[in-house]
Amino acid sequence: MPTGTHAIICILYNKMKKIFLSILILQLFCFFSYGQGNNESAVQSLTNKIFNADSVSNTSFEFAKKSPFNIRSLMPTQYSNITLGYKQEKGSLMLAQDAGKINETYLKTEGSTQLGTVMLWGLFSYHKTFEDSTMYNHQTRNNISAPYYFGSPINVSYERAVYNLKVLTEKNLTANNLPLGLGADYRIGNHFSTNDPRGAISDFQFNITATLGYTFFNQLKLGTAYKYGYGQERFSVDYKNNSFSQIVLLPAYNNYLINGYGEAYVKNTERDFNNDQTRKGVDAYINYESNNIGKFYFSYSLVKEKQKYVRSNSSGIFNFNQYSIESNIFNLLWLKNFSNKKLSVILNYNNVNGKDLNYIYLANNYLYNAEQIGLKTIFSVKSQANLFNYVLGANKDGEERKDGLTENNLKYNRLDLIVGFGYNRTTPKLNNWGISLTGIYSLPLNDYLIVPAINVGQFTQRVIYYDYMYNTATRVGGNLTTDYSFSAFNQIQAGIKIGVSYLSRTDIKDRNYTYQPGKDRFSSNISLNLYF
Amino acid sequence: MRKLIIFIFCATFLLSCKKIGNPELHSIDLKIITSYASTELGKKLSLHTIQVKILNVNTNVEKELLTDASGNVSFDGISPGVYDISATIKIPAATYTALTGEITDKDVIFNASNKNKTISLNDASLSLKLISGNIGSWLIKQIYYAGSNTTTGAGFRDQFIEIYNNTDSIMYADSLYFAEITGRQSYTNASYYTLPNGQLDWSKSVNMPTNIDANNNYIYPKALFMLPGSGRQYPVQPGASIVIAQTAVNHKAPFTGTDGKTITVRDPSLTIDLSGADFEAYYAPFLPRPLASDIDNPSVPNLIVLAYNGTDMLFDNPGRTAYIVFKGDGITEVKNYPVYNYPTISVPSSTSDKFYQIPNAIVIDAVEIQPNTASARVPKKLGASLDAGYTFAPNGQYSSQSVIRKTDKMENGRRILKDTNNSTEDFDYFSLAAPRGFK
Repeated sequence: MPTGTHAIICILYNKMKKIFLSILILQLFCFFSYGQGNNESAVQSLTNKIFNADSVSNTSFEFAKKSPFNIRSLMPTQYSNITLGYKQEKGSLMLAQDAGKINETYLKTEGSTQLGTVMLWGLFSYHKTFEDSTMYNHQTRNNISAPYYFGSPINVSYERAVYNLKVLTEKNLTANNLPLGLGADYRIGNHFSTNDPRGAISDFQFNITATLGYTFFNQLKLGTAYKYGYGQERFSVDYKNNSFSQIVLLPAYNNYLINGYGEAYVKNTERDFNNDQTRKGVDAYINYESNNIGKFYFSYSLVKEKQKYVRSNSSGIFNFNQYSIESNIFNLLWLKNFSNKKLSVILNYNNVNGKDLNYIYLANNYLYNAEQIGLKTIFSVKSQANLFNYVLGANKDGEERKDGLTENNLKYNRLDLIVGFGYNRTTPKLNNWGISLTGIYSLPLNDYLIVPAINVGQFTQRVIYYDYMYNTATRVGGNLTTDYSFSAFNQIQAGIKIGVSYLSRTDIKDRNYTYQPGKDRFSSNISLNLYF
Repeated sequence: MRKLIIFIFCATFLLSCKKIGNPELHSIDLKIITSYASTELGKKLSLHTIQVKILNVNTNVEKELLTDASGNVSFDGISPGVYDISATIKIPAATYTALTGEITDKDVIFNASNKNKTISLNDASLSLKLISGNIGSWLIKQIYYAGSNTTTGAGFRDQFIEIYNNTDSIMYADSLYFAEITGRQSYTNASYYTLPNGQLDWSKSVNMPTNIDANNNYIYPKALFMLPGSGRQYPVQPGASIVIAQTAVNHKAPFTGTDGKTITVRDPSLTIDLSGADFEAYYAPFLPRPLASDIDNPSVPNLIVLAYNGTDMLFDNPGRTAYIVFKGDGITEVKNYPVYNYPTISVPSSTSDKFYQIPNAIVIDAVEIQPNTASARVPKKLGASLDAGYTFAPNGQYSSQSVIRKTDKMENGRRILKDTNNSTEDFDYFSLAAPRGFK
């Protein structure tokens, strides 16, 4: 586990920017020069666009990105996509620590290809996000169950820049019976608030996966994987305004510490710490392919992660909290083709169990559990130039958090029902347009809230109660997406995609709380897409 | 294959039944047992309906309950942590006289407190001893210790303290003393002998007599001042006060310092006019290098300084000092009171600072100040008989805020200020300090 300094993270962050831009320019150059005047390129780019519009193919593609083990089976051998997008979200139907308004610009490029006998997939992405604004949340958005973090009761605006680089490769040895895979995922981010109290967070994560499998009788493929990763988040809170630095003009400008799931308390000294992370895990894979019943891809992943919240200075290293997370993830994908029709069924189960070690008492105080079970069925019908997607899904997710010192105990389970329809058409001039509509109905199943009144303060009212109200509210919403693309330069498919989403709450459990989530949330998205 | 799929589903289902369990840590039930410090009074006075408050200083969550007939109360399900705990009961004068036989025309208030008390997982009970304090004739009415912004205000040079005549008679300020109390300024400084509450153990000071209670019956000022006067030179009317300034000038306006340079403030609204103060501290006569801002206003009498700390009457602006007012007992001159070193673990040198030992018995009023944030608080300096609580300017140092004693009631046009010997209850704050103002 490296113990990098802030300077190292900054250097890595700057290097990542350069790497990202270099890869992007190289990819654009390659594709523009490779396919000039080549009609095959135009067909290939349209194929990739249709692959992207086909929900069954897309589901398989997303499934394959989880590990190198399935990239050969579920990814096309020639696919490239560059997306430049802008997304806006606003509305107060949100979790307490979310932002009321989010503006996000992103650039993403990904592609899969086969180089000789090596199958390869890679992704580079950059996200720049402006959050206006958030409270009690000097955090990245990647560690939502963290037991130890700083927060400000006053709203602060955040800027976040996140770079991500992912690579998966697979090579099949011994007469294609011994697939070996290697995957790497590197992410680096910089997050800071633009008004006092100013949180500054830099983080990086690096994960690798090595897979090994064996194929029996061309039908059954078994495999396993070993995973290892590490990362670090570095937090600090400071004040730019001289007045705030020497005087707390308003109590709201205090820095607060949340340690567990109880009340936040004032922490105006030593406002910095690190979260050092290591994780190890194993995967198991079973693939079964049959002409009669279709193809089955099963994976199980067990990951154990340790997070150490520490502060180090010339006096030594001070431990504040240690958080252990165990994730059990099951995924089962079933694919079945019927002449011009395709069916995909994806069943997944995730369970994340968190347990902290509070160093004040050297005992466990905070417990976290998140559980999600999902079933999604997609049926695609291709009829000449037309493509129809039908989606039905159900998703049950729940969360439980306990804090020993306050005896706070919250749990909820909710069910999302999803139905969707999409239509996509290709014109004789190789133009392509599509529209899709998705509806969601989200209802609470069961819950409980035990918060002894004797320990209720501002954080409990503004975050714990608020989130409870959000998670137990009935919500209904939908998403409408349209896209249009055309063949450009006879080699790429260029398109624009526009989407709008709306989510409204129809019912709320109790209207007597002082702070409550708002009525709705709206988001819109526009992206320019190139397919090669 | 079918069996395999069934197995997979079963395994998934079994894992989904995983229970989260319970954390190892848990909340606690804290029983508070109150009693009177005086055994004699304890036999006569009731322990029923004593008001007990606990304030979690980390989270500012407060809870208040009343005791049962035995003087006990239980706070169930509280989170371990650091608490300010206080108990108070106000016994009407007539009831007190009837029960004890002591004739009094004023209600008697008993207080007890334990501040910054760490309640751990193993703490099941806590005892509080109720003590009746002096109900003062002179009261510390306002303390402006925080100062104003160092860039746009006057920094710390505009500090003052205000002392009030809370009686219905004229009193004379001549030879009235006030002092800033010293003590241990952090819970972690290991160079002193300390008491369980974290404060200095003065009984371990060099040459401290062993036949006195050095910690509970005395206090030790780091700065000690006496108001001048011949005995009847400075009368203070009932309901009037005296303002004692660090430097008695109008801090809103430019003035010339002792170095000949002009001292100005960028934002006059952050500071105050102290040109009308009744007394001021002037250190130049005995300091080799006094502050440039410490000018002498000839129309304002100067304090007599018996002990000082710093280059002017500089109140600790984070708020880690207690203040007292007292008058000599007429038996021993205050300047002849014994002086002692800090109770340091290493033997103090011959040049180490020494501090006057002031008997609690002669203290007329006392107020404890603490920093505005819990993490910065320091061991309490005053016992419950002097001040069961503490007060602070909510926005802390350089905030222009002062702490101001609340008005209890009006009587024949005279304002009677609140004095329960618990400054947590007795004080409020001004957003901008206001000499002679009321709240």
